[in-house]
Amino acid sequence: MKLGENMDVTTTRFGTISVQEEDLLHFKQGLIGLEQCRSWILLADRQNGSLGWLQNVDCGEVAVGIVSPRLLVPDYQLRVASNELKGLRLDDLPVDGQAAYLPKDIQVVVIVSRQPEGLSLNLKAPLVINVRAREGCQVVSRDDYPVTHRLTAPIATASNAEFSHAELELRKIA
Amino acid sequence: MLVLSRQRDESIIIGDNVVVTIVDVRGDKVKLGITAPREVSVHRQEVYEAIRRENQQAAKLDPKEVQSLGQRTTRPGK
Repeated sequence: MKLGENMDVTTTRFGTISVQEEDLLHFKQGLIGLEQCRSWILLADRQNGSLGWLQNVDCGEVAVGIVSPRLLVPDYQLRVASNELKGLRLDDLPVDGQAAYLPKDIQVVVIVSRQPEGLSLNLKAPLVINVRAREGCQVVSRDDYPVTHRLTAPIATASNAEFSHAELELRKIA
Repeated sequence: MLVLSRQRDESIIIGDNVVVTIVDVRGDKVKLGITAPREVSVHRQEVYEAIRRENQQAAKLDPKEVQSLGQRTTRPGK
């Protein structure tokens, strides 16, 4: 798709949306278990300003809900092996021992899912997105976070954590 | 799969710089020590499998199911 070109994507959740090349987020290796899903567009949830939806543009039925982890887990920290970030165009990361600290223009979000008992967040394998380069990848944290962290409170009232300045720019659904 | 037998304190080297050492053997539990450069990720396989399953499950989530996450708050911008 050339820059400026429009593409219509028929989605199961959001109807037909019109996307342009410059809106796309590219995940070179897709997601773990969804390696073929590489091109995504970010949409805002109609009800909840804290929630985004990454809609795949090749598979209309594939979309994942994403939130900033610090909204619900204020002290959430991401430590990964540096090769996990090779897919992203990142300048040399400042390192401290085993961990690499992410610069501020790199967004970290986690995927929302549903368990029998209720909603959960995958804190173990967040998504790291280079917003400027429009590239992202899923990484696995070196820390012992759960894959299914249970959500027990709504985002809006969960904590006093201010809405992170590292929030993704949400594109509203037309 | 390459199958090797090792005793406690013995090691194998993978590639140039990944070393796996048998730290302890107790019953049917083996404690492994892994020495690898910072840029090589090492994870328990079942964690990877759990993430795979979770992603595939999450990809089926519908906006209706996340209404309990909270209501839109009035906030400047966006």
